[in-house]
Amino acid sequence: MTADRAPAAGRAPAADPTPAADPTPAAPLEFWFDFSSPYAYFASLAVEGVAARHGRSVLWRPFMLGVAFKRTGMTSLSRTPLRGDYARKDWARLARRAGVAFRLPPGHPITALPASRAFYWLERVEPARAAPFAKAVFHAYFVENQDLTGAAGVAAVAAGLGLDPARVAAAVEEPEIKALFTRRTQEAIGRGVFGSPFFFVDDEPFWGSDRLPMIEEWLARGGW
Amino acid sequence: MITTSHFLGADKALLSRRRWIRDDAMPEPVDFYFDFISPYGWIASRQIDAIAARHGREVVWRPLLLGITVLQVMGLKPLLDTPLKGDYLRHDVPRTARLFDLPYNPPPDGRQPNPLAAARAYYWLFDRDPALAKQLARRLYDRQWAEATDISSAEVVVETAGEFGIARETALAALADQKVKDRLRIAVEEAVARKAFGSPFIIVDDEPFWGCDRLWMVEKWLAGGGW
Repeated sequence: MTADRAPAAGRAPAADPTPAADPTPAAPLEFWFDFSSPYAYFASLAVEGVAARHGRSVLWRPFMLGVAFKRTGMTSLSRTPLRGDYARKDWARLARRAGVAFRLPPGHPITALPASRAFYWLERVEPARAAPFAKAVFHAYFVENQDLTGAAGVAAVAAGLGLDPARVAAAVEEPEIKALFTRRTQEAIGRGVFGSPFFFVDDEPFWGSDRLPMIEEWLARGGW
Repeated sequence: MITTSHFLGADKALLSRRRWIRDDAMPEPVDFYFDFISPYGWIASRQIDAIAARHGREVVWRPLLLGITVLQVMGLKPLLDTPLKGDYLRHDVPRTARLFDLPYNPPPDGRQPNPLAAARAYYWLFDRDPALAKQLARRLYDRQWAEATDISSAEVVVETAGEFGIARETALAALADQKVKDRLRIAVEEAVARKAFGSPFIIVDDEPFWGCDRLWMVEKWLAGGGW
């Protein structure tokens, strides 16, 4: 991959101060998810390892799955006959396998608007803390079963990371942040995202936490 | 080529730590539910018997009708007619087939087949010769998804059955028999009663697995007796 991009021998100045490093950094592995999606929670535990093994970072991208459902006519897994029972059994099985605590919160699924807005606000003001915040939200919801339907619950999660809860609570009410999250959700649907989790590797789409092994294969081989 | 064992590598240590439980009785067969209209079911059909055999299991093939399980029981739209998801599936099926090195080659018009004749022929033959029925199903499934042949018509199903020595008149009579039609209907009801709703849908000792991207998990479950 690098051979054809290396400068031709005759043209490369001997004293070129810039090293002939990889000219374009690899695009991040895009991880689109709804905070209320159990399969996204399981994926969130593994996605960074998958990306890192292939020299990629992860771009965390919460979106509103309910808006995608309006487009597709699908409903949440928990509320679909047969599939809901299967999913509950499957989540428990995945949790045992991954060795993680997992309890479906009462009232699941929720509309995770405040957490999603807080994520995009944080990505703007302190980008390095956005991914840790997303992980803390998943943990608070699926392990601690904290109430994340309102700004207060989300602010409490942020406070656990040392952020100012009052700032977070205010940020999720800002019209600009609300509009930003709406744009992200529209962006997701515009790119064909219809479920959670959903991944892009260099624009190649993958749906479902089941597909992480396939994503890893895609990263390793550069597609097939 | 990628096989399910490819994804097993990381967990060999875990598997070897597991205690094997041996029983003198033959282990229960694995139930493999699928619909002839489902290319993901076809992808699984090319692998499931080998996976089970590695763990000393037989597989019973059990065609079902997604038209009943998905559309009527679950109240969903046909997958390919679902906005966004339909486009994804049209991209994903050939990609998944390539990953598993399978010769995916569907009929060029892209239309889904009608699975009734194939499924009825299967259960009719299953009640007489289960091993031959599986061969017929495998052949029909391959004709549909690897040989670009629409298997909707009774004519194609009868012709395919002929390859296995089944007389044309016998096969035609079976497909027209109300008892054979009822046999399929009951089989689908039984599938729903076992909560098998998708294709492929695999049940190992009452443990359900949905989707051809779960074959690795089926294999782990068979190897370790669950977790």
